[in-house]
Amino acid sequence: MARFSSTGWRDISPEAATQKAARLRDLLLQADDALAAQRTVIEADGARVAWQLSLRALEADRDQLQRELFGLLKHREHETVEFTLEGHRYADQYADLLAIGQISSALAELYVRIGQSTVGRPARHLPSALKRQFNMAARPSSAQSTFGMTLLIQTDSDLLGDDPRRIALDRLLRLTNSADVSQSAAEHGTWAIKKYRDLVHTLIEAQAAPQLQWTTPYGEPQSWSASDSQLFTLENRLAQLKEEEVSLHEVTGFLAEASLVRHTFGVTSDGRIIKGKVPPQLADAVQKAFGHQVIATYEERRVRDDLTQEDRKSVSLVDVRAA
Amino acid sequence: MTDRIFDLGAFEVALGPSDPLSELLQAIRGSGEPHPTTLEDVELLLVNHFPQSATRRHLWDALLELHGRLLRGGLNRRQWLGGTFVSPSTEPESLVAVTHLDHADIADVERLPADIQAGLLNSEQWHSNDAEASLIHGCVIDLPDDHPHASHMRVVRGYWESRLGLRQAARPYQHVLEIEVAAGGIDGTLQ
Repeated sequence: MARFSSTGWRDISPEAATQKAARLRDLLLQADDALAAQRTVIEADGARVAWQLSLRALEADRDQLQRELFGLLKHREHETVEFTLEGHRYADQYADLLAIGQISSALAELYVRIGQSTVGRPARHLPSALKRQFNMAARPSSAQSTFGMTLLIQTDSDLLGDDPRRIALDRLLRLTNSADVSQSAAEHGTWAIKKYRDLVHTLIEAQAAPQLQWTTPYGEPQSWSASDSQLFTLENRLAQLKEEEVSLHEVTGFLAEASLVRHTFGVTSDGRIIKGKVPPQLADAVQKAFGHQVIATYEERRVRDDLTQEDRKSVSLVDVRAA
Repeated sequence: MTDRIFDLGAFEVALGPSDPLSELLQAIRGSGEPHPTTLEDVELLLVNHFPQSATRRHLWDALLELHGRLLRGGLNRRQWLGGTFVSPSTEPESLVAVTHLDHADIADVERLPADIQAGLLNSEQWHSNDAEASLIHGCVIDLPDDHPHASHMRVVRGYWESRLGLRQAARPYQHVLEIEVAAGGIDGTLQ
């Protein structure tokens, strides 16, 4: 394993890069909102020259900001996650070997499943290439009183956008912090939720209270920690999510929303709007089709929640092309 | 491209307190509001003051070209200037020019000849990937509060204000000028 910088950034001041990445990301989020507002005006009032002038300025500036952000992220060579286990079996940097093996394996498998749902359609079969793509490396951490390790996820500086491994890491932390696990199950699929449940069960069996800590390229700290009782509650809650239904749909409509920062799209058709997630490999196609008539193929995923007796739904884009 | 963060105090010491550029930057520093000035002063202080700069001349020429197109459409309107062009950087990477239109302009622009409309709408040329410096042209359309699209256009205006760093926590490299679109510069050349 190559030697990594401690900050994740290469050939650039980490402080300046983090500050600038956060500023660019915030502006891009605001640009998405401004573009949506301008498109709403055009939809209501027609494509008058003044509205178009405003729209094109926003589009051109958004493209410029994206180029700057993605150019900056090329200097981000890896993500670092601090993973510690607390409990009487993990004191003084010692741990039960079998337990940490099982916990590490469960965490790694959950990350791969989140990766699978990030780049494509969740499925039972997990290709070897996907396992290699969403691999984590580990090294001993400097935690003094508990057992811990530093997880490294190497990112690809040659990509023309955000790295799927970083997006998957972000989604993993969001999943573990989600107060709405049934919606998360619909978004990630039941295979990922099964691995999440395996991880929680393994932690309970191993009497380990986990803590994950990550600082995003934008300087935002993200973390997950859970006590014994929280893990028990979570395991029971996850067991209530059942019966996945997956269906494929095609719609012809206007691609009115497209955010490469939020990884979302919105197609309006016959007075309704279909919104969902965009996998990273479709980001370029979505950006090119933004503001045009398109034929969009999307997957709808429904999960039954036995607790609330409700179906939860998520939509992911599978393909988009000009109508 | 990266925006540079300047130690403006150190720059002013190097430049001398009586230098006109130093006075201009001092006047607009941290105000959070656009500082009114003239196109002539912009050229004098932010272009001619840096004879060794390649990107300042490029950005200035692009701005004059933009003004020419706006004037051909009868749009001698207010404009905010920001980006690293409005800083002590010798080789700034960006000039953000945000033109303000009003309610009446919507109908007026619609009646312009097609070639003038096309010139206004051609935003690609300001955003070349290869250029070392880019002119970014933004557009704000101010509408009366009771206009049906006023709230949407306030979102657009809010974006450009954020882009320039206006009405936000003080940022050391965000300085914004306000000028009138004019046939321009010191020699009055219309591009």
